[in-house]
Amino acid sequence: MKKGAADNLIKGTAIERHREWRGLRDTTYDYLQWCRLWGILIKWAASHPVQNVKAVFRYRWMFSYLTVPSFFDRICSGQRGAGLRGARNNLNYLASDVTGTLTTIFSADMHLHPGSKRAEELNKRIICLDELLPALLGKGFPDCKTILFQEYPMYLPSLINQHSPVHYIEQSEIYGLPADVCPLPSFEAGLAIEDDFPKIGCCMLTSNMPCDGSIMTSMIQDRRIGLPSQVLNVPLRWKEDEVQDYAVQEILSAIGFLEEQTGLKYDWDALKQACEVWNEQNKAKFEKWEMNRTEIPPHTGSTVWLYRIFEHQAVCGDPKALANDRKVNRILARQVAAGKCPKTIRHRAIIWNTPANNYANFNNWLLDCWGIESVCEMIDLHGAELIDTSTRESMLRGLANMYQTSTMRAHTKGGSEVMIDALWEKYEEYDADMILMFDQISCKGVGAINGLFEEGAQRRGIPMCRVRQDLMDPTSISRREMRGDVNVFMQAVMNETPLDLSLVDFDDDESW
Amino acid sequence: MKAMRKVIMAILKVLTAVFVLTAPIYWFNLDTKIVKAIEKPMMKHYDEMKRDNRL
Amino acid sequence: MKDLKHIHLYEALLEQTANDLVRAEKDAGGIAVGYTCYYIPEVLLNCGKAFSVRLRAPKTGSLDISQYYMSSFICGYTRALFERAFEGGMNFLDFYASSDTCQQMVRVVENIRDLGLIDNPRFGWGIIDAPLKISPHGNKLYIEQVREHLLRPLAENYGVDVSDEAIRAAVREHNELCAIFEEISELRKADNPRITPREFHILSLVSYASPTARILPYLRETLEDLRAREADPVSHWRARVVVVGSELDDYDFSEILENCRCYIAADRYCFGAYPGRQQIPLRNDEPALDQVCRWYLETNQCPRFMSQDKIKGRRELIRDLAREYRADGVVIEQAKFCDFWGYERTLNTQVLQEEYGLPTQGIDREYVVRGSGQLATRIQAFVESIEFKKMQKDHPDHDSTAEEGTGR
Repeated sequence: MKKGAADNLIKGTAIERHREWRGLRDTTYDYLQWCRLWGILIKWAASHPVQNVKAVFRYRWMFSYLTVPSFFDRICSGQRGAGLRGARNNLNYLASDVTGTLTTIFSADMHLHPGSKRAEELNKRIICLDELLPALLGKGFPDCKTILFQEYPMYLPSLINQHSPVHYIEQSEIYGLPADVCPLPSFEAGLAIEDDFPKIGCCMLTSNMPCDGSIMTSMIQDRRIGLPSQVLNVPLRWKEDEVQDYAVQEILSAIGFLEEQTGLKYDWDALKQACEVWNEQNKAKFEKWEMNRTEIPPHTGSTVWLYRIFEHQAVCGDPKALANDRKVNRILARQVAAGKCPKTIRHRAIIWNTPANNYANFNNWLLDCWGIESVCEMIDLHGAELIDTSTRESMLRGLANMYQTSTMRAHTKGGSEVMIDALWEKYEEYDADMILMFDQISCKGVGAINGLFEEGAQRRGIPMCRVRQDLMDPTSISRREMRGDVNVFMQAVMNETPLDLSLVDFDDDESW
Repeated sequence: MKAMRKVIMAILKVLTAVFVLTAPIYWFNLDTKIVKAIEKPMMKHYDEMKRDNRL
Repeated sequence: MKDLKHIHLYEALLEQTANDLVRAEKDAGGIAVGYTCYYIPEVLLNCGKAFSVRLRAPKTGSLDISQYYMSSFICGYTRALFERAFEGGMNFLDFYASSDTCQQMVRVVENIRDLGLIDNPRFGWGIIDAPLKISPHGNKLYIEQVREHLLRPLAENYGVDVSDEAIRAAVREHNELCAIFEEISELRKADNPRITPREFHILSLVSYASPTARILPYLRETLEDLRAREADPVSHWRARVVVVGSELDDYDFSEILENCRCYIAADRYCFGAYPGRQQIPLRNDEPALDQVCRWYLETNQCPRFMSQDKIKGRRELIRDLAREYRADGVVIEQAKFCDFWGYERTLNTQVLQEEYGLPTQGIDREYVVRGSGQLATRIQAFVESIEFKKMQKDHPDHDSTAEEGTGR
C-alpha cells in the first residue's frame, strides 16, 4: 500500500522521520528556504547570545520558538509550486521580523537585565499595546518601538506549539478562573500570574479587543505589568456613523496619553506615510483575494490567515512587509497565469469563525486529506478599508475604522447580521460548494448565534460542516477530534473518499 | 582570470561543504529531533524555577 | 415576624414575566419596554406612557431549544430569556432595549429579531453601544446612543413623550420608589433587622419587574408595614454579608443564605439595590437626559468598565457597603458562563481579602438556584469561618492553630 503523509510520523512524538519529498524542484526550493530560516535564527542567536540563552531559560514560552523549523514544516506540509513558495517567503519574512522584535524585547527586559541603566533607557522608547490593537497608531512615534505586548509570549507560541498554553491556563484555573472562559485571555492571565511577561515598556494601551474575556483579562495583567496604562475603547457597533466620532476621540486621547508618557510629539507625517504603505499592503491582499476567486486558487494553506493576522496587527505600515507581499504576489500570479494547479482541489470551502491556534495547519490537512481548498476565510477579511490620508481627519477616521474592523472584530461585532450575512455573500462570491464553520466552544459571542448559522445554511441548501475547537486549548478539543468532525461530514454528507487514507485518523497529540 | 577561478572554486567548495553538512540535517529532520530531545529537561527546568505566582 | 401584607402578591407577580400589573398597564395603553442591564437607563424607559420591565424568566425548566440556538456555554440567564421568548412568553413586549455591552445578552435580542419570536406587530428593538470608561466624549457617545436607539424609536414609533419634562417626571416617580428602598435599606443595618434577605430580594425584584406607577402604592404600604413591624425578640443571624455579583433574579438565592442564618445586609448585584435604587439628583440648568445618562455611567458597577478608577471604585464600594451595613464578609456570586463576573470574582475574591481585609467567598451558580445543596454547603462553610474569625477576635488567647477556611 502506498505510504501516506501520516505514515512518516514517529509514534509517540508525531515528529516526522524525514522531511517531505515534494519532487526534486520543490524539495530543493524548500531546502533552500529552510537554510534561509536557519540563517535568520543563527543570526539572531549570535547577535546577543547570552541574552537570548537567558531568555530561553527564563521564559517557558520561549521554548516554543525553538520549534519554529518544525512549525514551518507543518504550515508548509503538502504544498507545492506557488503555494509552497508563497508560504515559505511569508514565513521567513515573519521569522526575520519576529527575531528582530525579540531582540528589542529582551534587550529592554528588566527580568533579564535587572538594574541595567541601558535597559531602562531602552524602555523609555518602548510603547506597549494590547496585542489585538494594530500597531499602526505607533507609527506616529518613529523614535519608539511599538510592541504588541502579548503577541510574543502568548499568541505566536500558541500557533507554533499547541502545548504552550496548557500550563498557563492551568495556572489561571488554579487561581479560580472558570474553565469555560476563552483560552486566549486565560493564557494571558496565566502569564501574568506567573510573572512570565517580559518587563518592558514605558506605558501601555489596553483595550476591549476583541471581546468580553479580553476586557477582563486586562485587569489581571495590569496588576503584574504595573505600567501607566490607558484604555483605548474601540466601539462595537462599528457599522454606525454615530460611533465614529467617539472612535476618533478615543484614538486622539490615546495619542495624548502616549505623548505624555514618552515626552515626544506625535508625528502625523510619519503616520500618513505608514497609512499609505498599509493601503498598499491591503491592495496586495485584494490581489490575493482576486486570485482565490479563480478556478485555481494559488495561495493554499494556513499562511494566508497567519500572515494576514501578523501583518494587520504587527507589521502594518512596514515597507519590508509590503516588499514581501509584492514578491509573493508575483509568484502566485505566475502560477495563475500559467493555469497550473499542483494540488487536487475537489471542494471550495468558506472557512468561518476564528481558526484554532492549536491546529494552525488545519487548512493544509483539509486539502491533503479531502481536497478541500480554503478559498476564503473570515479571519483573513479584517481591516480591509483603505485609509484616506488626504486630511488628518479622514486619516483618523480610517485608522478608527481599521481598529473597529480588526482581527476577530470585523465580523463578531457590529451586530450578528454582519457575521451572518457576510458568510452567504462570500459563499456566492467565491463560488464555494461548502462551508466549514469553526464552533469555538468558549466563544460566547459567536456561540450564541450558532442556530442562526445552522438554519441559514439549511434554508439555502448549503452543506455546512461544524468543527468544534477550543481556540488554543488542545486538552479541551484535540486536533484529532477536529479532524473527526470533518471526516464524518465528508463521508456522510459529501460522500467523499479521502485523498490520503493515512491522514484520516492519526495520533498527533504529542506533536507541537 | 586565474584568481577569479580560484575564488569561484573556493566558493563552490564552501557551498558543497555547507550542503553536505546541512542536507542530511534537513532531510532527516535532525534539527527538530534535537529540540525534541531537550524538551523534557527544559520543561523540568521551567517547572522547578522559583516563581512569584500571584494574582 | 409577621408576614408583610403584600408579600404573597409580590411572589405571585414574580411568577410570570408578563405579570398582572404589566398586563394591566398594557391594557391601559402603556408601552412595555423590556431590558436586561444597568447600561440601559431604567428611568428613561418610564417616560410618558412607556414602562420598563427588567426581563426575567421565572420557573425556567429545560433549556433545550436555547441550547440548540445558543450552545451550552452561554450564561443561563441569556438562554432562559431566549427560551422564554421562543415559548411565547415575551409577546407582551413592545420594545426591547438592549446594549452591546455583553456579547451574550445582546445576542438574545438578535436571535429574537432574526427568528421573529415576538408575536406582536408593534415589536421593535434598540441596541446601544456604551463606553467602558468615563470621559467627556464617552458621555457624549452614551447620550447620543440612548437618544438615537432608545428614545427616538419610542417617540416616533410608539408616541412616547420623551421630552425633558417627561424625563423629569419619570425621575420624580423613580426617586419616590428609590426613597422607599433607601429607607428599607436602613433597616438592614440593625443587629436584628425587621426585614429578611428573602423579603428584600422580592421587593427589589418586583420593583424592577413591574410598572413603577402600579407597584408604588403597594410598596408604600409595605414600607408602612415595615415601620410598624416588630423584629423577632432574638436575632438568629450568625453572620452578615454583602452579596456582590452578576445578574441575580432568583430570590431562592437569598432564601438559601437565610436558611444558613446568613444575613444579606447589602447587595451589589444586577436586579439589586446597588446601584439602581438610589435617588437620582437633577439640576435645572442642564438637560435631564444628559444628567440621567451621566448618573447611570458613573454609578454603573459592571466589571466591563476597565479603567483603573472604575476597577478600584468597585472594590471601594464593596468596602464601603460592608462598613456601612456592618457586614462581616462578602459573597461574590457569579452566573455560570458569565465572562465578566468570572474574572471579577476570581480577582476580587483574593483582593478583597488580602488588600481590604474582608473575608470573601466566591461562588458560581446556575440561573435557577432553587434546591442548590452545593450553594448551601459553601455558604454554611463560609458562615462558620466568619464565626470562627469572630471568636478568635473576641478571644485572642484561644488556640489559633486550627485551620480556617479562606472562603475562596
